[in-house]
This record gives sequence, C-alpha cells and structure tokens, in this order.
Amino acid sequence: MTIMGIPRPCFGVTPAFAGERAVLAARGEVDVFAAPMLGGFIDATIASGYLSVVVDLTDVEDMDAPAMAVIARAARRLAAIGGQLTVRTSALVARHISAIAGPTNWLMFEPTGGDMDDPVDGEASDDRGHLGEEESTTAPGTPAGDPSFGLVQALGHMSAVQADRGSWPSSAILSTPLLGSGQPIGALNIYSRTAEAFAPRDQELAAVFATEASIVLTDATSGASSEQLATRLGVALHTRQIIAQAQGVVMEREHISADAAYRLLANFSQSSNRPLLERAEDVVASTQHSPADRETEPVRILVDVPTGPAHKGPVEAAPPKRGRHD
Amino acid sequence: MIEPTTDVFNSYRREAGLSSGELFLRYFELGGMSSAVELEAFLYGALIPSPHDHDVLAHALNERFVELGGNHPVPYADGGEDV
Repeated sequence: MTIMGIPRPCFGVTPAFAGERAVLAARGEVDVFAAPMLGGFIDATIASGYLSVVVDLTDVEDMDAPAMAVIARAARRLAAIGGQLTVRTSALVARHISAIAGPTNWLMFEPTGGDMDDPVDGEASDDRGHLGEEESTTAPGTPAGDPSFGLVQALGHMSAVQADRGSWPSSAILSTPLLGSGQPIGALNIYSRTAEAFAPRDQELAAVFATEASIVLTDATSGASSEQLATRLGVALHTRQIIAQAQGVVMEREHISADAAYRLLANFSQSSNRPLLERAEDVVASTQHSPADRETEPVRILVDVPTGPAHKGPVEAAPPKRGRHD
Repeated sequence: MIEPTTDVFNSYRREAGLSSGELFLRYFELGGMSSAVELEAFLYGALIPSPHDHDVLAHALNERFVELGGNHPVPYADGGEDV
C-alpha cells in the first residue's frame, strides 16, 4: 500500500461488529500519514450509530503521537454523545495516550499485557471482514510523489462480514490527506454505501478538492494567534501612519498630489533599495531639521532609478548642493 | 486606467511565496485603501485597480522580492501620475 506515493507498511483496519459494539483492529504502522485514516474509520463507525467502539492496537507495530491524538479526540467526541471508546493496547501505549488526552473518564483501556515492542503471538481471527489491506490501494496512474494524489481507498466487502456481527453501512471509504505546508493536517473522508464506489476519476476529483481545501485551511490557520495578529495589525497601522505623514510632507514641499507623492516615495525606496517605511521615516525626520539642513533631505537627492518598463527615469531633477547620496 | 492583466498579480504573489492574507497585510501596511476582497479581485484580474492601488500592490510585492534577495520585477502603473 502506498500513501502519497510512498510505500507504507501494511496499515489497515479490520472491523468487527457484535451487537451494538464495534471493534476496529488496526495493524501496521500508524504514523502521521495513517493517523487521519484511522480517524476516518473511527468516524465512520461512530456515524454508523455505534456508541461502543473498541480500537484494538494489539497488532500495531508502531504508533506516533498524532495517531494517539486522533484516538483521544475520537474518544472525546464519542463521549459527548453518550458513547464510550475503549483502547485495547499495552500499558505503555495506554500511558502515552493518557498523557495526550489528559485526565479523563471518557477513555477506557483494555490492557493487552505486553509492551508494544513485544512480538505479537499468533494471528488475529480472520473471520471478520477486512478493510484496509489488500483492498487499500492508491488510484491507478497516481503520480508518484505528488501529495495531492495520495489516496487510499478502503473497500468494504459486505459479503465477508457475517450478518450476525452487524453491518458496516459505509461500504466504501475514500480518504484523502489534507496537507498544510506540506504536512498532513487531516483527512477528507468520503463514505458510500456502495462497494467499490470510487472510480479513479472520483479519486482524482477528491484529490483536487482536497488540494484546494488544504490551501484554504492553511490560510485560515496560518499560525497567527489573535495576539500575533493584533501585534501585526498594530505594526501595520503605525507604518501606514508614517507613510501617510511622509506623503503629506512631500505633497507640501513639492506641491504635488497624494498619489504623486506616494509614487515619489516608492521610486525613492526602489532606487535606494530600502523599504518604503525607512524612506518615509527619513522624510518625516527631516521635518525636524532646520531649513539649511533640508538641502540634504532625502526627497531632494537625485535618484537615478533603474531603467525598464517599471520606471521612467530620474525621479527628482534638483541636484543636491551637498551631502550624501544613498 | 490599467488594462486588465488577468491573474498576473497572483502569479507574482505565488512567486513571492505570500498568501493572500499576508499580501493584504503588506498592501495595507503600505497605505492600500482597498479591502481584502477587492485586493483578491485585483489579483485575479476581476477588478481593475486604480493606478495608485496598482502601485501600492506592486510595491508590496517588490519589497517582498527584495527580502528574498531579488529585484523589483513587478511593474508599476503606466498611467500613474508623473512626478
């Protein structure tokens, strides 16, 4: 199985249903890429109406913190609707998940009695329907290495699930990673009651949608906290004020319009390769100078702007009488 | 008025590695008076910016390119007021 074009150890989930209880047996490596898919399986189970869900991690070879966080969040969601999520795992992993989830009574553990590093004896019962291994594939023709086309399609073979063990209403799940700054931030999960519902074209469309959704999510959660944003806006307002003051100074001295004054400042910024704010600060500071000192004020300096379609040549015709050039 | 240039500004934005929000903050910081929605319309050529808005947007992008070690690739408004 590959995820985002990268071969992954056989991550998979095998569901089993007994009355109102669902058991999701995960296997393989539940890393940062597989975690959203595990979350998708849990979500599908909860959406199907099962309030008692067991996540069996007995056959999981390795598990990262994002996967543990996915389980903790799922447990919280299930508890909110009166359900219970139980994790069947070693004491070591239970402690790690508890550390992430925090003190809580909505996450139960069934110890398996061994450290995750201990070899797992025997094979799990195979009379349950399989979801996630041999049926988990990337879309044919998926461009290798292109994260936007990294898809895993899990097919539910209803015939493999005995009727008296309950049913998996969603027969097919299409899970597409959502990426933020190149890192998985979630998954777009699409469910269908029809087995093998997702053709390659559907997978491509899901990938396109997930790519655009990832961009929106990335922009929306660009890491700026309220405090950071407030600080940034404060800086922006201060900068605007300085630039507006400089514009006013230039307008008065040169007897030109506000737009022309702005262009003058912008050209001066470019020719000197200094930020517009710095140039504006120089202009504002020059108002503190005596008239004699103003002979060297920045707007009186002859600047030879670079030629080209963006510029029209020298900005200021008055040669300096003395002093520095930028 | 500036002729429509489809999404030329957006191409520059992507090349500069700025999100729409980041570009808007820079544009606003340099004195831009249009809203974020209008700015986005400028980026995609759906709205034609005034020469002044064009210059502010171009300067915001050019300052970013300078930060990245480049030059000033974004042209200013041809119809701008001479100074």
